[in-house]
Amino acid sequence: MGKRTVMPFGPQHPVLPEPIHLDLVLEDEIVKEAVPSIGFVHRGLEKLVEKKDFMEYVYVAERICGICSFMHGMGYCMAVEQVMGIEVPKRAVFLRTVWAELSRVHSHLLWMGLMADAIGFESLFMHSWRLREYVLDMFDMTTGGRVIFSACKIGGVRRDIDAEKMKRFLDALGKVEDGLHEIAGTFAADHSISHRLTGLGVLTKAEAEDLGALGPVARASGIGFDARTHGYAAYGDLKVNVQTEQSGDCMARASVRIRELYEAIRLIRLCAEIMPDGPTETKVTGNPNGESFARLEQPRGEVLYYVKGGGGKFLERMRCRTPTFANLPALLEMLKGAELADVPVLILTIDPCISCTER
Amino acid sequence: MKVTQEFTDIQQMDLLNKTLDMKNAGYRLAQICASRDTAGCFVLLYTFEKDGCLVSLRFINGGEPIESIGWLYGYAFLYENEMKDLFGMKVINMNMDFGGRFYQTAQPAPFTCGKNEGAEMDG
Repeated sequence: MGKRTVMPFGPQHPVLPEPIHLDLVLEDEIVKEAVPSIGFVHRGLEKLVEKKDFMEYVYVAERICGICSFMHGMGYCMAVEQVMGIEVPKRAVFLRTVWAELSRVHSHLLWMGLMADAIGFESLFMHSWRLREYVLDMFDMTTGGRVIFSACKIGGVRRDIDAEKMKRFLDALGKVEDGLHEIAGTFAADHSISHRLTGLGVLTKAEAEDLGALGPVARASGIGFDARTHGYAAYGDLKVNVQTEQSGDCMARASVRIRELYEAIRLIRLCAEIMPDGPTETKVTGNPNGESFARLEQPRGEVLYYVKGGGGKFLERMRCRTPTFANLPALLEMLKGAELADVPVLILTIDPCISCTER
Repeated sequence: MKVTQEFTDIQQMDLLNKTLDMKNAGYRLAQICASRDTAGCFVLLYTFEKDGCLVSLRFINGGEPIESIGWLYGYAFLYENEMKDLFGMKVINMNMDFGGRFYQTAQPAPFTCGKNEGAEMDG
């Protein structure tokens, strides 16, 4: 047995866009164990719900994460709406679905860029983020904001997309899809990428189940779990094709995310096609009294929102279980036996969002 | 697909048996949520999921140690360490115990303070 060394990895590290700390127990250059610790930027946003009016808290929920901010606002709104028995107009539900799927496109493109950067493929990183920039422009076009746009509110949405704007929106989406063909082809076929990702960080289906993996991490190991298939928002009117792979390695996780990009684009087009006319919000009266869960499929996996109200304007409890938090055990398992040089790639392969984890 | 939510009140001493039932029935652990009630007791919500159905087991804890469910759901250590670090709860027989260092918080058990206690957040 070689000499064991404990190497601190993070909280500040070039590959980590946000702070998380791992103590890597190494034997020579092989990781034997990884011990995480979080909390460096923990904001206590769940606690803040006791001091913020439940209507205003939507703005806080959106700030849990800057990548899937819309989906956080949407999840919180859905949970409160279920407690209050609010029926959201159909058009608002479709608009929420459009922005949610566009958030998935945004997130997966961002991930592709980060992964390309981690393996030293700088031109692919730049092309991925160039495409992502178009997506942010599409958010700007339809909501007035690029990252946090406060389009979601309890009872509906604040913005509508008229026919003329929807046409421009779909034109822009077509350009994103055209650009995606190029970078997706490179991701799938380039030797340097497959050399770094294939066979690395294998998570079997049984391991993924035992470790409670979610999202693309689970689907790349053959688990066909996707919360959208339960039909929340407009997904009940759309047939979501769940993307899975069987090999459970880093390449499989990349492949799942790339195919989910195309699926998200298809769902946005379908929403635009069948979106009904009508109001975009319902008047909200009273205060939440009761408890409920809401579940959404975020780009990184299922997020679970729990809210409990006692009839006042402040909620008694809000719980947000994010997918990165749930995927930490899977990451720790993947790191065991890996070479030190592969650690950045393995961390990125779960697409970690520390901002979500440090809610 | 129909999605249901079910909340069941149990006694703390029944937690392991009920969790075992959920495990045997093929449910996965979706989350564990801790909170404080007005009497200062902890309220625990263990939520399990299968085929879109959420089943939550709820019990009141007066501060006595809670047995870990890590032997049934290996990844429960995340939530159990969170309960310890944010709420100061006692969880025993955990399969991975970070000894209060999973969350690096500025103050111990920050989620136990009352609504008007602790740091001023919004003036």
